[in-house]
Amino acid sequence: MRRAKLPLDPQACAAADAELAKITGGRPLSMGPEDAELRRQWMDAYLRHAGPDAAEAASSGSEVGKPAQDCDKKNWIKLHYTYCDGTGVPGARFTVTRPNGSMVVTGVLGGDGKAYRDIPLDVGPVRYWYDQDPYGEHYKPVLVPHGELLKEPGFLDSAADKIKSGVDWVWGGLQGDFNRDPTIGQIAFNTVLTVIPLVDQAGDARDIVANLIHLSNDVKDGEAWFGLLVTIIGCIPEAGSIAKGILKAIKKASKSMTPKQLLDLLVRTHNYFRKGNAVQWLREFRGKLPKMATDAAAKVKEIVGKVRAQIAKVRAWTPERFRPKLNAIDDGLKEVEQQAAGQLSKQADEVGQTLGEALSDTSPAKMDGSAQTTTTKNQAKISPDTGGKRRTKAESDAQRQRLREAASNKDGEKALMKLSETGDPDATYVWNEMRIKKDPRARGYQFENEISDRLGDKVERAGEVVDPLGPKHTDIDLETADSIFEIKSGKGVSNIDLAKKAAIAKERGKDLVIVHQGHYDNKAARENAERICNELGVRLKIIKPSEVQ
Amino acid sequence: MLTIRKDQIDALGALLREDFEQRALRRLCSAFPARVEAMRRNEDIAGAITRWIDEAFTFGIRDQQQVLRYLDYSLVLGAAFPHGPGFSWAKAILEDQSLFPVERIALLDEHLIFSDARADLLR
Repeated sequence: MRRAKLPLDPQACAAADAELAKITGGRPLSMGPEDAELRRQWMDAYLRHAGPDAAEAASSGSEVGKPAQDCDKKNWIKLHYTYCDGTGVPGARFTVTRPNGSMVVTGVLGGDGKAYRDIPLDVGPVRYWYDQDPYGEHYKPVLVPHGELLKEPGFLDSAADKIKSGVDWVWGGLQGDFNRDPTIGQIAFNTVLTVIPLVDQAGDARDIVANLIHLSNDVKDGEAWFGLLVTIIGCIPEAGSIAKGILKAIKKASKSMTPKQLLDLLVRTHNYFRKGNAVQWLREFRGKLPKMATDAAAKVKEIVGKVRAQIAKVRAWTPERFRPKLNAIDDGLKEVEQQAAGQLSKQADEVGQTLGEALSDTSPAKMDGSAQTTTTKNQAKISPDTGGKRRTKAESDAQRQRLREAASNKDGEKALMKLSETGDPDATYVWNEMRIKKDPRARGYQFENEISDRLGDKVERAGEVVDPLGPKHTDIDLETADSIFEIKSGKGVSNIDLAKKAAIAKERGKDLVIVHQGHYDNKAARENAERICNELGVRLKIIKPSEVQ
Repeated sequence: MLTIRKDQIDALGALLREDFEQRALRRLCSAFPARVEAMRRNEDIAGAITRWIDEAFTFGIRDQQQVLRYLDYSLVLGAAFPHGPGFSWAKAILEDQSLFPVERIALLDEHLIFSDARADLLR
């Protein structure tokens, strides 16, 4: 550590003051940690202007009047920062300070997300954090290895039919923007669904058409404008389906969630799709929204222009009695074309404002550590910028007990239901528990609870959970040293899901373990699973929850 | 085997301390000649340096570089430092056992550099 020699050089002081005034506007610096970085910048500027002789070491390593000095010691710190899948975050910037905010060392992590630095001997306890994470690589798209499944004529329709007959809300998701009141679950489902390129394209065309129909009838329909904005942004390669899902969640959830709850939801959504610092991504995404709205308006004009040109052609040979109808559509679209820029920009502003509120209190989570240790931070365990952490098992149990007591009357029950809709894992657990009591046939929920109880601890110990709020049955993506688990909840079996998991198992050289509750009792389902795994050369084990070790 | 007794170590230590005090005096004379000259008129500067070093020791400041900086403060800020009125903030920092000595000195530096007291530290 170096410091300025005394006496100070007045000219260098004035030059450093002038440099800092450009940043601070000339305000005096406080002595708190909030200005520690600025004080460091001033000192850097001073030493630069005063020349190399103006600095001296802060410690000599020799005590006054002590003939024998201690042996040379080494002080160091190792840093390790990982994505939620356990791989390193290369290139992220790290900062290590003393507890009072004075700088110890800063730098950039190496290719494996690790860094080793020698630090001054006098440093003991430290605070450290990471920021400016590079964009995380996309999780490798897990394509269905059985291409024929997607090529098979009518496969998607039949899949949709199966889902539709099984669970109503899923159909709400499949309907995309035709469904005017989707739940968050439906939005999430639709977001996940549209990751499959084929469905995404079909979905985009479907949603654009739906919104143009709405708008040609009612050009002031803000919801339809929003739908159009989302769909077109979803078509932009760099934003893609993740942006689409996040925008919809913002719009929907902002009505019922606090900014913190919304942020948690958005972080989970982001982490589902890709590696990286979710909050950083959301911040940058927010900054791009105005430009995206402008681009979307240009796209709308292009699409509407083509449709109107088509109408003009058709009009020539359309019988007279249908022309008023055509003219009405054309007039509606003309209005859409004229208002596109303003309306889309307005929608983007609203979303940007909500997102801004959710992000307003975020800053890099600062952790306590100490010299001569390896500090490890996983994005999954502590959300990168929110500092939020999952409840421990004891906290979770206590919270569930409180919720059970609070839900003993009708109002309490209603409040519990609302809370469970925000994604709070313990509220969801207690809500499901209550539903099972009322409806013993709710096999799905019972299964969820059983799975959560049996695997929750295991998952927590394994540190595999992406969800910063805690393990839920839907988040269970358990992977041990030798096996990948496919946890079957809900109704029905999906060959696509199974094939995706089998592909991951193959890639990582592990076995695939299906945990089910009757799903694979059916001989055909079992044979199908075995066939898929055989084709991929993956060893398969099918067990019941009670057999989980 | 050569054995160095404690009294031999102490004797060597006293010599080293004397040497350090000489160096400290030369350093102060070079850095703040006017102030040293003014002080010489009233008291023995060498005696003051011995006193200031002992005072630094009471705060756990023993590293040579850090003691030298403590001497700078003592000379520049005058007899009131660090126990007199107006320096309660400095005393609080020096007595803060949660900080390492080098951190305490760095904090004193910052308080002086980023306050009106900077004028006293200028060349």
